[in-house]
Amino acid sequence: MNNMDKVGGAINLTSAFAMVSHDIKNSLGILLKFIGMIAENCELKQGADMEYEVRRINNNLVKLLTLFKVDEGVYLLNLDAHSVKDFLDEALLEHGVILRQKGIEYEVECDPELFWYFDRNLMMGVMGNAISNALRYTNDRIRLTAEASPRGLAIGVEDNGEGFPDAMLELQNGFMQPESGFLNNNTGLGLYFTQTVLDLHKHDGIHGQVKLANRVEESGGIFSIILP
Amino acid sequence: MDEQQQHLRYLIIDDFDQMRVSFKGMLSCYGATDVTTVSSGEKALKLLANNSYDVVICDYNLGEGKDGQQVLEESRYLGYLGHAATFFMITAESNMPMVMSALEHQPDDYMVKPINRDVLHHRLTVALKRKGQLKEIDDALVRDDKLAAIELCRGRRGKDLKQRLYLAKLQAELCLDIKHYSEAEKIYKEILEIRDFPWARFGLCKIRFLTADYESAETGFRELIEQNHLYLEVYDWLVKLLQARDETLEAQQLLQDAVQLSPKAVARQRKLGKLAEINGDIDGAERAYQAAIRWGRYSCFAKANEYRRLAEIYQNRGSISRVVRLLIEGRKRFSTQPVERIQMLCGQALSQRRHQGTSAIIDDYLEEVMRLIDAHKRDMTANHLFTTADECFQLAKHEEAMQLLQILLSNHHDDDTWVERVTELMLRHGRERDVEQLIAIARGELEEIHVKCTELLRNERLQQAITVLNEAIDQYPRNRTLMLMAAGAMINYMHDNGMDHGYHFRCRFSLNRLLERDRQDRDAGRFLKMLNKITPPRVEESVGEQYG
Repeated sequence: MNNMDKVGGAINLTSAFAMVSHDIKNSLGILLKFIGMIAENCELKQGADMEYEVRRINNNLVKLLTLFKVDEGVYLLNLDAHSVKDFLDEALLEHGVILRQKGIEYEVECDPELFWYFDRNLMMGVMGNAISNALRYTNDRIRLTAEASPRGLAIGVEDNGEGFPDAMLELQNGFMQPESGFLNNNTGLGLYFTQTVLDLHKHDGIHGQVKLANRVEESGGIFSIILP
Repeated sequence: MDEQQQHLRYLIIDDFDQMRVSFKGMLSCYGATDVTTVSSGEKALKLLANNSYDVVICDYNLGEGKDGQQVLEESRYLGYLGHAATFFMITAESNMPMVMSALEHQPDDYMVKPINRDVLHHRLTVALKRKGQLKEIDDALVRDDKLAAIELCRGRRGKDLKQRLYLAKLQAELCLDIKHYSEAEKIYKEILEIRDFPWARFGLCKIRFLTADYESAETGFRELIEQNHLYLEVYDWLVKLLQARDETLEAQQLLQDAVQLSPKAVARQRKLGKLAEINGDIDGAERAYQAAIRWGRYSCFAKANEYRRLAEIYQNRGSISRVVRLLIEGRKRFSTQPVERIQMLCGQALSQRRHQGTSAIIDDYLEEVMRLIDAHKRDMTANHLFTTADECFQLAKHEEAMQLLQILLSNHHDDDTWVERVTELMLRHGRERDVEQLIAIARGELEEIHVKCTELLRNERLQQAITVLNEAIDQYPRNRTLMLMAAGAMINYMHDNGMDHGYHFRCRFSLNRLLERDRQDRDAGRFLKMLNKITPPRVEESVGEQYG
């Protein structure tokens, strides 16, 4: 009930954030439209880079807002059943322009009859973040995988770039501790956001898990999560 | 976009012109040709009233005026948007409080900005496919045939977990609606075994409340609010519970919290005003009614009630000029809603009489009242007629009052409660001598119809009897005896001669109306069961197999 007191106060940060975000999102939507037009009509190769940056602004905005709301205790988890294949397809389609422009090949490996319970929009934020990273570092391929495991839904985002640097792989275990300094860069924030989202989905006492790794047989990184 | 999607009719509602252009561009890029765009909720509702669209894409935030949620609720409530139409709500934020609400207040899908054409197309395809699979159930809901809808929900099994969850929720909500508590309870419990869905816990709490287990219902409601203070529907139920226990002060406090979180809900503001009046908090009532009027300007859920109550408050404070202004505003506001307008006209007449005594203008007001009542008999409930008659007496318009009571009794000659209430009202206004006569006229009219029909039936002229009965119902649209006789005759006819869509519709309409009035109406319930056995020929689309 303590949140109620704030609503009546002089400034209501939650609604201020909502207004600002609505406005920014409108602007981003329009920017995306123009970029799309320019990029696909003029075959401008910077189009993909511009689109990429706009997506990144959006991802960061989503991260910021969600973390703020979770912190305030006002996030309503919107749990529903979803087709995992549909969800992953759409996560890639959000980056459709970039994928086409940069000629990046992509595949989704997932049983079309696999369903899972989760908050679609929150998880879209997690995927947006992961795919955005993969797009930045990949050579020319992206692969999304998903399968049910005893501990939850295992989702992987793989690229065929250089892979994660060793320092990052070593540090990831400590990212939840602020003193590790990991939170000071954007990857750290992304992981923190991902873990927060997974924690919101905890079920039967099982928490989710996020992990960074490198592929063994070929070069490239794997961002993987387990969603309870 | 496949060919089917290209030929659909699209409506885009967004206050931002760049966004409208953008959506239109995305759709035409996939070959859609019939795309209308509009900049406000008000304009959208006008379009929706006069055209049919297959897909509506609506921004939640529409600036001044109605918001997207209001557009959705009003267009569904007013019947502009069939269940067959697909409604997409566009939001800036993924986390909207309304995602918690009952299914009838939810769009088919939410999309979060920014949206590109790939995603739009993907969502459209998925939603339309899903809609197609649910067509049979949607049709049943459009016919307001809840039993059939429940039956269809029961029958659906498949691998599509999303759809199964949706159908389970729908089935439980429908069961709650028609008081099949044990079935609803079973569904909610099964769902809670899977995950902790707040709506399922809410459903269980509602059942506790409806079966008068107030204590555990209250604990549950409070827990839900504790976890989710934006889950506004829970507030409404907890308020009901507190009122049932006469804890009106606490109920008012709780509603105050709720309207602070979401001031636009007119019905909630009205309720708050009423509670404040009960608690003697006149300032609070004034604020609530004012808010109801302010937000009601853009809403089809506005009622004359808040204008009349607020006028009463101003009256008691002696601010006559405010009373006059408010009543004029209200009469204009409801120029196209006869039932509400009648109440405003009576309010004006009463205020006129109080301040100026009798005057010609009162006659004008009353004349319009009587004209409206005559033209809109179907919409007038017994309560409306009773209140209006009472006010006519107060205006010393005995003639009109008696006319209205005559209409009331002709519609409810078989209902002792109304006969008693009318008798009591007439005694109060010194008309005890006329009571007998009014009742005799009402009973006589009905008797005449009854004799006529019995005669026709004896000569096996069933269809003619049905025509006579249906004409009588047009005259007395709320008469239970007539409705039951007509329903019985039409069911008999269809039983022997097969389905008749016109009869089927009339039957269902009457029986639903009777059951709305009294859930325990056994005769209506029995007829409805018989009616449901006469099913319309089924369109076999084997939707169940597509994913089975």
